[in-house]
Amino acid sequence: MFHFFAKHKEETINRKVEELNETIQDCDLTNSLSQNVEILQKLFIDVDVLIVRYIQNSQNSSLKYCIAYCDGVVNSTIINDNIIKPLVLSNVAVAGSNLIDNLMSHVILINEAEKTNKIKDIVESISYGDTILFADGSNEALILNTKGFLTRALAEPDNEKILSGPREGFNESLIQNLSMIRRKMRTNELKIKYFTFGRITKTKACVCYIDKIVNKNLLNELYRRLNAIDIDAVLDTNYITELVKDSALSPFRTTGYTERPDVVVGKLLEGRIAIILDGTPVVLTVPYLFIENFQSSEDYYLNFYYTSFSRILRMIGFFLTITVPGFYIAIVAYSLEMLPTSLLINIASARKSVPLPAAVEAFVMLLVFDILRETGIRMPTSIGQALSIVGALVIGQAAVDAKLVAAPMIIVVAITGITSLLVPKMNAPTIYVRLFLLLLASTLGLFGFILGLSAVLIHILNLYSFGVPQLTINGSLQFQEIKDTFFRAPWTRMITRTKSMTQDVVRMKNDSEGRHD
Amino acid sequence: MIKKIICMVLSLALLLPLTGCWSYHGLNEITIVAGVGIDLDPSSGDYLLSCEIIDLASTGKETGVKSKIVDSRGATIFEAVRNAKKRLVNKLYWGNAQVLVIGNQLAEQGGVSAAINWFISDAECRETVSIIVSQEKTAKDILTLQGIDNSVVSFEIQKIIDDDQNTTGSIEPVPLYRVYNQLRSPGVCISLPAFHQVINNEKPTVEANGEAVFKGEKLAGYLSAEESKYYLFAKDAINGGILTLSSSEQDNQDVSLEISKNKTKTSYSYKDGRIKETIETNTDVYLDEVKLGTDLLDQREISKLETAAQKKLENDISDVIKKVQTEYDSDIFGYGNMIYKKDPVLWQQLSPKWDHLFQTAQIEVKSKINIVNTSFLKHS
Repeated sequence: MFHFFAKHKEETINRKVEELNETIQDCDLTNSLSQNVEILQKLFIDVDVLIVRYIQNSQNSSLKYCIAYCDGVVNSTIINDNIIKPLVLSNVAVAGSNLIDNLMSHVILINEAEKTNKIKDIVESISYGDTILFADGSNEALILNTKGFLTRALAEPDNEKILSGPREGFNESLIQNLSMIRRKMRTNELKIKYFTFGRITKTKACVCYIDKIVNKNLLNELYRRLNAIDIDAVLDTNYITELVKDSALSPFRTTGYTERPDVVVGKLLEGRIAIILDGTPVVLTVPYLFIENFQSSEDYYLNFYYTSFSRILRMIGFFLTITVPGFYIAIVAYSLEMLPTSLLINIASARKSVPLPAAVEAFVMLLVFDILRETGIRMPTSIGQALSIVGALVIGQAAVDAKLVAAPMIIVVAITGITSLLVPKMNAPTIYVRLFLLLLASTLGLFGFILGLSAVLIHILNLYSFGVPQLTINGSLQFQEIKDTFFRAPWTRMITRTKSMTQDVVRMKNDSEGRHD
Repeated sequence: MIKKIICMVLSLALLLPLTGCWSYHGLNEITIVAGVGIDLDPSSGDYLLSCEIIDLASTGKETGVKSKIVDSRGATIFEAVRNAKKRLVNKLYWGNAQVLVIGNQLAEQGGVSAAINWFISDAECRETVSIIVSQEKTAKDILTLQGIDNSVVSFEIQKIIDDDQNTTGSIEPVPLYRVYNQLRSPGVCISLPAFHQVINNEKPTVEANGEAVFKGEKLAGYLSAEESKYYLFAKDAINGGILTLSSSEQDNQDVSLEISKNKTKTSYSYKDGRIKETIETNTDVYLDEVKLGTDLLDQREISKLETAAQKKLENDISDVIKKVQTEYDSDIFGYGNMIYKKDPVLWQQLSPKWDHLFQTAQIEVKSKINIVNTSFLKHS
């Protein structure tokens, strides 16, 4: 009871402070330097990284300034050389009614400076590495760009390694990420629109698209959904994904993600829209077609015969990873007569003294595999060897020798596991679809298996990404619509872009043989 | 929403009865039958069933697949099958049974239809099971033999049957459903592959040994492996095998011709109360083995060989047909059935006296042999 009151009291106080903060934030700056600084210090109470420094001009001691910044997110050299030094040494007559303007134009040596009288703006920018310059006698302040924080070096993304092609990957800085994209496209057609998400984090994000190629309806729909987002924080693009995606509860992806600038540029050029978020290297692309699960950037960088084959392999891999356990159980437990005699005898002799029914065995082994996989992701790299020994020897060999598990089941789980790694973008759907099919197969046999497979197919056919159907092709089947699906056609044949996603389908005016499209 | 889901579940539930067999049976709950032998107990008239089952306990990586025999007895086949369960841990599983051996005695007494009836009507057993006749005393005698491959003898027999048509051409594989159909078709008698025991390398083993000829339900007699080949020629069922030309005078003129392709056309005519069957064979052969002294580049030599082979083939085919006509009086060639299909009205007239007509039918065989390859290496 007492605890409740205490908590209640605390909440009340918190709320009061918040209200106070809000009212202070909403008000404007005053003419008094000390008063302005006091407001700022009050807002940043208990925020010890805030540094406030008073400065006086050496020529004219009536010119008093104060700069404030947050330690750790600023570049001190810039502050020393380009703000403090000119402010102290300058002999320009700046005093007067437009003191701040004069400072900006004659004294301060900073590329990006902005005048404001809103406390709110000041709070936001000071947290993000800007320096605030207050001047005595002025009810405005300058926001000076002195951002200087550490960013990760550009490195190849670990989970999107390729054999050949550009190796740089995004890092956590929005501006650097944008620079990487801009560098690849020297055109004013590349539009970059800023957004801010998160009531607390105020995370900067930007929407990129190519004006002439993008489908405007799609763009408007994206804006509508982005504007509807109301959340306290966004730390990764997945927050946005889940807030804007079409079928919110489907395990299948309806937005794409990548950490590679070349992939983003490639997608922009096909009429897609990219959403880049500050603080994460993962960039979102919409709309997202089902086939993109099987596409990789190097499909376009290597010979098309080779990459078409690997793409088909990925599709087979996806099919195998969802169907193999279910199919195996359906055959072994229900439709024995489908097994060739020698296979039947082999499986029967392997299963002879295994205690569990095949279906239970499959569930247990898949669970064990998923545990191993999850451990592999979470553990420190130095324990990797121990894990593979435990996984391979204990669970594989020893379980078979001890007759806990039949050897064919190990093979089934191994095939399932390995093929699931072929399509890393489908990790969530594969797990659930596989279990769904396995469950149906172990209760209804092949019939249930086919039933489940149809249900999954119907579900995928029902998926949309920003109004674009994920799997179906609009209109009649034409080569130009499927040239980049099951196989990757040579560049000489990829004359047009995908119709549903762009307003300008012509990629090549004339194909390489001079024919006009 | 809930209503929608309930509707979905109910309509899906409606599909369940459409699935046929979908009961769960674990692989460790079945006894796999590889082949079955059916005999008749002469004293009681009961069926004696000998099932060759896969012996999973001694099947292993080193030993290969092993089998053993389960005996049972019953007044009907199904009773005998169920009686076997009294001795077995797991139920017999018929889905992969491959061979059905009919005992000599049962065949002579004429109960083929009755014996195979359960196998065709039971859900588990396949309609494509091969049926063979044991030339030994009982069917069990065949199944207890050790195959040369030292594995399951039923599977070895099945393999022998499968490959025979393309390699030796001495038996005609007959699946269960065809036996069942032919027993009920007018103007045709069944003939089944016959197997017997031979001594190979001092050990007894099985061997395909021509065809068992039935008259209706009853076994009428056997054709030897060589005779069966010409029976297959007459029936247009040969895809391979060897034609050997051997002359008694000059041993060095023996020649092997490998049959590559054969087409047999049979036509009939009915005149003055007599049937005349004309059998025309057209065979492509490879000259595979020839003793020294024949010039394979000489067209005349080749023609001579062709003529000799044609003559021999014509004689052999007519001999076999005559033997079947006179000794067995069994229309295994399906001549009556041919008339039934082509001219049902005529068949209605002929069918009562078909036995006599078949026995007295006039047979004319015209053979054409084309040597397409001579396997000529070099003048030596």
